[in-house]
Amino acid sequence: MQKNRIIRIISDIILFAAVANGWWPLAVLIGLGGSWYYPRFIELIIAGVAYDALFGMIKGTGARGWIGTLTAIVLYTIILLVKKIIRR
Amino acid sequence: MNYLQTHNRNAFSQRRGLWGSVAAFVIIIIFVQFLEPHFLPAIFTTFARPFWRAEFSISSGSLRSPASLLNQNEELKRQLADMTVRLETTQSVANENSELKTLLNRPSATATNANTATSSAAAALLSLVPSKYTLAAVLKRPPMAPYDELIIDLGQDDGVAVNDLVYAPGNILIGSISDTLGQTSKVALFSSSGMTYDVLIANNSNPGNNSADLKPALFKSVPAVAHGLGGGQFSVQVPRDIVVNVGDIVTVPSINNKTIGIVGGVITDPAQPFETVLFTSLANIYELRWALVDTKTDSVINVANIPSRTSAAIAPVTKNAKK
Repeated sequence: MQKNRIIRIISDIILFAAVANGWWPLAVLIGLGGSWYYPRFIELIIAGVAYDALFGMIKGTGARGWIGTLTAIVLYTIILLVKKIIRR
Repeated sequence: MNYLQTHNRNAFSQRRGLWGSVAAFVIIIIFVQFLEPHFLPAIFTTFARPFWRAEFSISSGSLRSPASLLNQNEELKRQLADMTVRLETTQSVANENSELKTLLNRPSATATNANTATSSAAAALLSLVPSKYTLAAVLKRPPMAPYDELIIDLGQDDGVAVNDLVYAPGNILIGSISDTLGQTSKVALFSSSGMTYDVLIANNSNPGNNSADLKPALFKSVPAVAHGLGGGQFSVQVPRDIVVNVGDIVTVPSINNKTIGIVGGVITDPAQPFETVLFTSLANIYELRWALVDTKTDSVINVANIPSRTSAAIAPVTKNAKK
């Protein structure tokens, strides 16, 4: 249990470092892995919001400026659904 | 008698609670963003900025040995001496340019700049002096920064405002400020996909014996609409009869002729009446480490077809309210 928690904290740090540096492929991989491994990996959605807050959310760009948040929500939903189907 | 539980109500309510909290989180974010658009960017930027600065410092060579820094210093001094000589040459050309403008009754540097439209050629020169620019460090650039934008270390505290023009070293126009926080700003590059601008393609072909070829270059400029393709690339469609060559300079139409790029290729299809001209920014945005922000003039570029983006005039307009 303790080991799991440490791994989660480390993956969170790497996830947010990746987001801050704009390394979105790494952030997506960690987010997918985390969502698959942990029951509630809300960090993925927070990372999506953080990504848009840092690089997007420009007035006038519409949904294009929210692509990180939207992608995070879609990925999170897909992983939850796939997990539900496979583990039924 | 005991029965197996067929429905796990506890797990069901837990799942519902999870989805409810995710939905609530998203709604709160949208609500906050709607009320205070800079709230979330300011929070996350506050955390990220120290890392960006550290990364910039490391990439700038802050961790190098003193010996290598001294060597670099010497090398830079040599380059500076070389550049000073070149600058003097450029300044003499600028002086000549302003004198010619004065002779042609166009002493002001810009077409609509009322404040600088004085009768002396010095006023024209004044706007060419780089001191009006503020140097900014580029903290994030494509491809790591998405949306074809730069993040620079100047913000509202430094007098930067939305629509200020941003240049790469060498007076190359690359973009304008799209959003600004306290100490950082986002720069939307003109090459962003979906953006269109009015440009002039200056024909550099060598004059021949034909007297028509001896016309001034100004009359050989081809007006066109450039489309941003992302990553410092643009495309323009011009009629096939117009001669455009690789290496032609592309400028923003104004009397200052701000250079925006150079033609890199021309795609001609005999079946089509138009040819596609591809041009690229003179500055490599992937390697850009410094940028110059013109905090005294507003944006220039005539944004013809950008959904819900602010259109701006072609010629720079001096900000009276600022500074």
